Amino acid sequence: MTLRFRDGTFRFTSFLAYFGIILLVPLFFLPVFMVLRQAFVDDANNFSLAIFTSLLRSSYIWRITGFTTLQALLSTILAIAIGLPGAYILSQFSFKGKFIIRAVSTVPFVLPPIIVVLGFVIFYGNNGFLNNFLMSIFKTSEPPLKILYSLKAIILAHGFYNFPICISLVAGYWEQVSDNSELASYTMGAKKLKTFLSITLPKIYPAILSSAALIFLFCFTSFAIILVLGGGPWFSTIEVEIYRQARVSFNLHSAAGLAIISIVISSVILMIYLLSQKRMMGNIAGYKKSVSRKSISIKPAAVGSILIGIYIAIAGLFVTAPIISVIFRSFQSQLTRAGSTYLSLKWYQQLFNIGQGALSLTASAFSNSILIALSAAAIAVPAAIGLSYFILTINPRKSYISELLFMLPLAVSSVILGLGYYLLSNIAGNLSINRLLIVSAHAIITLPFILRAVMPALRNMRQSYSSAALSLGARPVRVFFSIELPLLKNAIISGSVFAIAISLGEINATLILADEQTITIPLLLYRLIGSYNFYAACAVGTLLVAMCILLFSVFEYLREKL
Amino acid sequence: MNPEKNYGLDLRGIKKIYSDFILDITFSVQRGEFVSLVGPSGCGKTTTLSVISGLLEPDEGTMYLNRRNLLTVPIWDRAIGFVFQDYALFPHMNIERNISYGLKVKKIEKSKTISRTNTLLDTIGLCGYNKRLTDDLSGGEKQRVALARALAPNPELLLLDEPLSALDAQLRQSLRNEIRRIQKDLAVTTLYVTHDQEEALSISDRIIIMNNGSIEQIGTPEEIYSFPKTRFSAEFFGKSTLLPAIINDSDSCTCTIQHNEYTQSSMHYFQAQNTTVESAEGCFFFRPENTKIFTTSDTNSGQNSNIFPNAKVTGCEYNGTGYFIECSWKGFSLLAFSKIKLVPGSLVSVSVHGSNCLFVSDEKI
Repeated sequence: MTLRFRDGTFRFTSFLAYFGIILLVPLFFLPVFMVLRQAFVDDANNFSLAIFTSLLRSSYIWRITGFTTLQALLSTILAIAIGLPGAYILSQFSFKGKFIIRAVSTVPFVLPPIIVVLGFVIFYGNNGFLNNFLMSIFKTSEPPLKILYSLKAIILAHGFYNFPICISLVAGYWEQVSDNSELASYTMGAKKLKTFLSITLPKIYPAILSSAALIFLFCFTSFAIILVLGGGPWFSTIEVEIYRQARVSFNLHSAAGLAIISIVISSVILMIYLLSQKRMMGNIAGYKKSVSRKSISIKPAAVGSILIGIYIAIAGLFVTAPIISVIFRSFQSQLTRAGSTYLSLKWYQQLFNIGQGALSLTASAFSNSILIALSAAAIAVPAAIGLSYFILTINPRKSYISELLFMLPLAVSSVILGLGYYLLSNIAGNLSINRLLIVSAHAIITLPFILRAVMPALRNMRQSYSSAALSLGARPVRVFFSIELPLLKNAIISGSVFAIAISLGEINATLILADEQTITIPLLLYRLIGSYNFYAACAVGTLLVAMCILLFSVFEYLREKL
Repeated sequence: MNPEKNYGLDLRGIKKIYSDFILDITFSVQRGEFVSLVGPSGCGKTTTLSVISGLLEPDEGTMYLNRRNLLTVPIWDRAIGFVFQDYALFPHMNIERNISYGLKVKKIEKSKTISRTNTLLDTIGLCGYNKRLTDDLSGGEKQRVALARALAPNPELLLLDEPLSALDAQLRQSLRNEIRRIQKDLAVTTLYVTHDQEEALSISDRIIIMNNGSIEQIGTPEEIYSFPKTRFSAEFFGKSTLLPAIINDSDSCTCTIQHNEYTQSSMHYFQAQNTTVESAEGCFFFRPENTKIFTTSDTNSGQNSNIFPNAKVTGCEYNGTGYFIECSWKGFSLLAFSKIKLVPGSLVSVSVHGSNCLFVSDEKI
């Protein structure tokens, strides 16, 4: 008798791996299929290519696609333009206030988009803090800045929301590649500008491309920001139109046509992202530094210090002003609509006393959101661990296939996923399962983010740890729980925290799936904003921000403690 | 002879076939013996250890350890200790928990586990290190802990995969002696992989030379160094001169050095009794330290001496005890040894006694 030891060794982790794969079929592939087939069936549910060809000829679809691409392109340019100087400062200089940039640039990462929307309304709105401030300076009664409900607002919000991606991705890469080639260029007589253009720029280009692709992807499939800040059909994107067509106009064919275009374009962008990531890894290996950056980092000169200071001040203000505005406004109140404001805890009192109207839903919104987030993480985290094993250990030679497989949830927007679940629930004819559907949707939406945390940790985990444990007599299950899981602990915690934070702020799929009775924090915020009850929205938003901060503090504590 | 009686570890016709590499090995390690597995990187040393430990399953062959058929036993029941090149100390456990991991897995009584762990810490000279974290240890200390951890469950076989390769030269030397001492004390059957030939020569009972997935030669360090059986073995251990040759007469042990148009016949070589040379074509082999160098034309150094007259010195390299002299002779490169420094360009005669020369056939024996 011959035992297949290799297979035996990994039997437990293969079980996890197949759990992840099997989960994807009903929770991801089936709903996506449900959406896409709507582009090929007529109202009597018969296959019809005519539906699809007429969709492709529709000027409406191409107008929406054009605007979606345009706003994503402009937003990406803005985010890169703000982010690149930050990446340069962060990676090339050493100075005291460095942590401020790091801290400030993580803020938008953990903020739900609906809070960003609220912050923009409160800060940049006609009655917002910025306009009030300007009006009191210039003594006018007309707000000088009219930003909201326009393309400007969309691009500004996207820039705000995404420039930290550029900072962290480019700076992280720039820190790791050596500057020996620059020094070599100087010794050969090249001036600074020439060296930057001919050596540095080609070197960091993959990182810029990579962050640009990711930012473009996020802006392309952005939902809440467009829905509220766009303000109307003229500033509408594919995602928002999918939602409107499916849930307002009940035109599933158009929704499916838009979904196909969205998935195709997103897949291309995702491919660019993956390819540039691969080139970055190659470059990091190629330009690997022999001396740590600390010894090379230079203190900026006087002029440089001033410029850095200005950058930190502007970027810091840009990021924090809308958030602080939300928090500040939540403690304000007005007697009449035009009356002056005063400090009060009125909105919080209303939140905690089960009162009237939308606010009476507060308690159930919070408990629903927390329950959904925890349940989604409970599904997504084991699935992500399993998928990581599947990708990296089951068949490492064909890892690119499985890697593409798991990346697909990134190319399929959460609106499309939500719509797929909605169609499934229509078949089931039973909307009472929609909390379960929301949980499943959130699990799939958060899956790629957990994978992005767990996969590198698993890839870097030395095989010899598990081999050593096995040779010491531990069986595979024991090896997994006593060695591998503890070694992946930090990655799993950080993935879980991100998953919970994303779920807490998720509105796209939730909005499509939720019925009248189901409310979550972002849905509550959306309703309050929709009914212009900004003070109450700010109070709910402040609590959500507090929850996110608490979540990440707990995460930091666990990382230190465990 | 029943191999299972005499040998701790017995591998026969073990094959592991990859698309670009085939491992095919047969060897035995006696109970309590210390055997080194040497060879260039990529020759299959680590694959061999993986197959023995159970991390890899062989495609063919039989494998016994103290009469137990290993192939029917999964890795966790093989009772084989493994010391990895990167130590693989579990970073989330302190030293004590690392060492006792194998005991806890076996559900050994707690008091016994504690005393065994402390005994092992004492053995490796790290008393009181119980609660230290692995990150706080030096490379040498990590290596010792890895050894103690592998030894804790009383393995029947100890496998060490280049355990000293990450350490600096001085530490390597003292640690290899310590490994040898502990191994002798515990009388644990040991297979030690290294690519360092000096290390293998100094601590092994026997050495196995591997090349390209198969075994070139097995022997004691003395045999391996003085009587290489293949060209590869001769070149792998130490410096040597190898000249293309054909056997004239295997009874009188003479051969002809032959290269292009040039030949020199009646070169004497040594052949151990009861051995045969498989192929008449091969190499004439000697070590530099067995040579004598004459600067005069008086080269009469007696019977069975091989003389290489009129060799031109091309290089002179000092090694602390003398000079390695590189000479060019009839287009060949000879390596000799001299107590005195020689100027490149000068003409010398190199002599080496036939009893110090070998004929190494190109074929494997």
